Amino acid sequence: MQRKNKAENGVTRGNASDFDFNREVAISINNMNLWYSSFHAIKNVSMDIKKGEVTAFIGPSGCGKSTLLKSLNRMNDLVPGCKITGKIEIGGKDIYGAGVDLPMLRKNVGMVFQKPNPFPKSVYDNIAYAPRLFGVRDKATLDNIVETSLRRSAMWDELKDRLNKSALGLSGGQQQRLCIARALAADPAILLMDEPTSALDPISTGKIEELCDELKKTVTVVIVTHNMQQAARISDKTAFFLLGEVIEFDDTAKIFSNPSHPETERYISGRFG
Amino acid sequence: MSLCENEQVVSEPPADSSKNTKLVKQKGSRKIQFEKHIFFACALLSIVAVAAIVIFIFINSVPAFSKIGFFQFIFGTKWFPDGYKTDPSNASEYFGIFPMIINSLCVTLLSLLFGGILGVFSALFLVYWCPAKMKKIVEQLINVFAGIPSVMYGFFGLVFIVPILAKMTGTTGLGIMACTLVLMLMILPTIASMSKNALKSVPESYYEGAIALGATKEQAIFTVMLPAAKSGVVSGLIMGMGRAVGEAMAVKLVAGGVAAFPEGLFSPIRTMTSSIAMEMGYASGLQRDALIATGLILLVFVLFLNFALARVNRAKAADNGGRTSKAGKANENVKGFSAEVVYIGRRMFGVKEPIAEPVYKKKGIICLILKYFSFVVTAFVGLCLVVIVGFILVNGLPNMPDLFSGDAVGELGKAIFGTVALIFLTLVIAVPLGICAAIYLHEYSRPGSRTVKAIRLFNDTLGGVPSIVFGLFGNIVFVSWMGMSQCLLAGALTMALIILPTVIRAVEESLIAVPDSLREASLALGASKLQTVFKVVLPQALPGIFTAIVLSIGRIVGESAALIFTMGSSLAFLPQGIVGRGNASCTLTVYMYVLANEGAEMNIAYALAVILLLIVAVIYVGLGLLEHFGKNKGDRKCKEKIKPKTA
Ligand SMILES: Nc1ncnc2c1ncn2[C@@H]1O[C@H](COP(=O)(O)OP(=O)(O)OP(=O)(O)O)[C@@H](O)[C@H]1O
Ligand SMILES: [Mg+2]
Repeated sequence: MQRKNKAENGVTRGNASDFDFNREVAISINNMNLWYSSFHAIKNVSMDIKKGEVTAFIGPSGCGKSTLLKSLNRMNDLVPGCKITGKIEIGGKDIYGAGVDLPMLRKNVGMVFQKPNPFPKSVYDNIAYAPRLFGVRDKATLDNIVETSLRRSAMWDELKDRLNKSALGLSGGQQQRLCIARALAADPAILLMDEPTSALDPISTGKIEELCDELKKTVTVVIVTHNMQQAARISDKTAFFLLGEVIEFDDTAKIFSNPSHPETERYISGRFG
Repeated sequence: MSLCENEQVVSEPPADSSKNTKLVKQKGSRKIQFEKHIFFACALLSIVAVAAIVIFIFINSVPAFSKIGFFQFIFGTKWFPDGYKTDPSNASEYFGIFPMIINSLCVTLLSLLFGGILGVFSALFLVYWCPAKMKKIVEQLINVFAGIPSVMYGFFGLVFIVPILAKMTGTTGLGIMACTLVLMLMILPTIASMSKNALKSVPESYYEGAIALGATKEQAIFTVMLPAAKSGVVSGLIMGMGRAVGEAMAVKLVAGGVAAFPEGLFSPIRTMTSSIAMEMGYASGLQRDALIATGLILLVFVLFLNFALARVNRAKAADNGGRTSKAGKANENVKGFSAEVVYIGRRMFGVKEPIAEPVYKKKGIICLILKYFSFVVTAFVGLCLVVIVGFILVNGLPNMPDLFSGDAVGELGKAIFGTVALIFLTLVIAVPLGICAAIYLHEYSRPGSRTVKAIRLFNDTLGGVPSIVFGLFGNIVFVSWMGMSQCLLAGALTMALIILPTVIRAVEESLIAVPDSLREASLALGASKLQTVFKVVLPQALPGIFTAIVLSIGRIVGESAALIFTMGSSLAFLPQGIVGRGNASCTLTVYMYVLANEGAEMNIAYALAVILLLIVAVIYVGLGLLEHFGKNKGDRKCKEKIKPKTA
């Protein structure tokens, strides 16, 4: 419902002809490989991520979860010497193909980082950043977007009186939820979150987990986490990574109750080296 | 050797008697108190110096204010000291500096505008678009650019910019435009390097955040990174402004000297600084007092700028701490208000807000244009440097033989002697004091205490006082009041005050870099604090002290305004002593200024410019290489340390 509201406000989902997010499969990864210079970081990964589901990436440190996540909105382009083969389709479009509008891709595939990184601007300007980038000038429209985004990230009541205060003055948990609101203001169809709660206290973590549940009504969420309970609690699907490979990708319930791979079993039961 | 001594100290106190150990302890602590006082006194020097400058300049301005009248002096529009000599009853008629104040402001603001744009945009290019290989070279060039003596800029303005302007406009070419261009070139490196540092210290995560929201690289830079570096950039602008308003000699060479309101960009003018530089050499009586009073106005202006700078820095600290400063709040309100006005305006004229695609492309294009603008600006700055250096080399090299023959070579010898003697004397005075002050600030003070903050503030303030004001102060105190007359020592004392802030800061930074574990190790071996500082900490900090010395030499070599009225500009004979009448001397830079000012022997001035350029290049490139080398060594050490872990 809120989404419809925003469409009325005029933030369009960009080039509808480019991305089609009404498909069943939001992200389709096909035989993908990634190298950092000579280091083979992602090996032959294929998976389909369904629209409206929360997918969790789990696995030991350095196994390539963040790398794969960053490939989905092409943040890896910032890393010199990073090379990718295979195909990633988002909204039915090959995002590494020719003529991809990178800003539009990143607008549609939002990202939340491990460490909260609000800009040193006011709360309002942080959230209005993406809409302004995409041409919204009208104050009333911006006000509306800011309010909707803050409501969607369950922060409106906390922050409505502090919109003009610096975002750097918020607590860590508030900053992270502000970053989620900032990403939501771009009206993404997919939201990538890289260990969004690893720097937060349990209460803030709980709030963000609740948020994920709420968000999946409107966006497809991919979340990297080191917290097994968290993955079990909030995700519909779970992918287990090991040394750059996806060992197992299945329903979360299945992975945590009856994994088909002994390595997965060892990892989730905490017996992994 | 030091280890042996430490062992002796440890074995000395008898272990059985508690009374005795107590005594030893008390003795030790009293000793710490004593040396602490000495270091503290050195650290207080910058406060004393600023206070002395203000007080002495003020006291010596009082006669001018009382005879002329404060308002007649500031707002009077006529400056005609000769008229006063024939009509001494009407002092207030002949000593008005209002045109000079206006001229100073015009020239400063214009040069700040141009220099600011050039400096900030070339810094943007350097940080975000410059190819890695070129980056190091350009950074070195900026350092050299910053180290070129102001007189050299003035000289370049006189022989290159002014003739071009004259041809283009059919005037003399002297005036506001010429001053603006010279000052622009002079403050550009300061602004560029401070903006560069500010941009570099903006966290990478802001950039990633903006990119992840769909910003292009250009948009991320102009909408997030540059605003995040705002306070550092503003500090650079304020410092540049301070340099521009305080510059005397370079401006004097291209201003023209007419004490009147500007009739245009190309009519001759006179600024506050150039007025002092022109007349201080021969002025006496009320004219001298009025010049000193002009210096006081200048000083007040600069102190005000320093105060603004301190505020910006405080706001920066508050920003980093996440608190909104008062200034920041006001800013936000203003911003909100202006957005409102724009919005209402658009509504009134029925501007419809176009949304999504077309505008987003257009907005990206604005940032893209700014990006290419930064390319153009950097190319222009590079071209300026090439032209300055090229022009001086092309005109100077053929004249080198003139410099080494006839009368000139004798004068060159005297100027070299004067320069070397001045460097030696100044360093002997300033370096020990600076080291002691830095030791107090970093080793003995309570960090963050009010005293330390005050000392730092005054240190920065002292660093921002214009050379010409130092010149006035040295002339008043050392030359006249102490009766030294113009001599090497008076010049060295003045110069010592100028370089003191630089020395203190450079040494302090190197002290900060010495790891605490070394101090603890030394103290644990039983060394006293004093022993630890002198035998363990200072040797580690030697590279920093060396850097401070080289920087100071660069500053001394480039100085002119502060020396002309303290050490003199005489090349008549070699000084026999360092103090007293007849021991005036002259440095290479002052020599060049005198030649350029008289316009008599330009061939020799050109040749001198080449030599000065060479000295500056050696100093700053050497310094850069030293730093580079040191850093590389450090990196390699780190890598070696880390490697075994990962392997
Ligand atoms: N920019 C880079 N350049 C080179 N190698 C990299 C880079 N980023 C990551 N790697 C390497 O790629 C591998 C995968 O890294 P990645 O960050 O994706 O791991 P991760 O699963 O997210 O780990 P963690 O749980 O610790 O965040 C690691 O071995 C890492 O060292
Ligand atoms: Mg990671």
